Amino acid sequence: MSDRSALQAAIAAEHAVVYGYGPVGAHLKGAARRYAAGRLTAHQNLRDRLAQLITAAGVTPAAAQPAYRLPFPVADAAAAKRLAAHLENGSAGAAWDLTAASAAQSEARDLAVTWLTDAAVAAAHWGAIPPLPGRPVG
Amino acid sequence: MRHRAEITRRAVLAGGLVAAAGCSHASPRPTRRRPPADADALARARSDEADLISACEAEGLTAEREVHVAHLLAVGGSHPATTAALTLDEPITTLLTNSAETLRSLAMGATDGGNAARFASIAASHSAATA
Repeated sequence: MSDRSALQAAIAAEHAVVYGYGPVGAHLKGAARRYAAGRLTAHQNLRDRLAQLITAAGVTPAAAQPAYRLPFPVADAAAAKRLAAHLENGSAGAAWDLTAASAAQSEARDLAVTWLTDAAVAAAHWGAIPPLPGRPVG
Repeated sequence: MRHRAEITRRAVLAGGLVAAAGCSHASPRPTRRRPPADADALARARSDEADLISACEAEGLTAEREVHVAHLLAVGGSHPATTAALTLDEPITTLLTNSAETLRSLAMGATDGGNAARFASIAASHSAATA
């Protein structure tokens, strides 16, 4: 995967994560809802930084879809937390791919390395994480 | 990026083969094998994981030990034998925090993308363990 296609895949993943935090927040209250709101803002900022990098490379950033299919029904707080963990683990996967595709010491590598840690910490907050967060399965 | 680096290595190897074919009468020289990409960084990561495995054993942290064994294997280490119980100079959280910082730096500088991703992922795991 080239760094450009990894950047496009990364922003596509972040569009989905930003969308997914909508239903997550809708089913949470109190501290959990505040944490979800903080993560939503973090992912929106990340999406915007990815868009800047893609634009700077002379490419139009991939647009968000009008809607995304959730991986399972979300009707209560437990399912919302499960979805949040799912979103963060998926986001870590996109960060892994961008880390692998980007050049050493590049801005994209810097962004991806920090992003992978942030996503893993958040995934651990919502649930469990694998020993190597973001690593492709298989 | 990683793919491009591999092509470059292949090109270098192919160039070396052509040069060797043109000098078949030359006296044999000792073969110098190029170290794998990011060899020093991988060695540093293995050393940190070995320390963390020992620390987990000292603290009786069985599940955490297995996580660090997975990290060690990911950076080219082999399955460790259980070591003798150690006295820790530092809390394990300090080891994890310091290691995460080191690994993020290694990830930034790694020439092989796969190594970079592994370093970044292990750093992420260490940070998540101390959050």
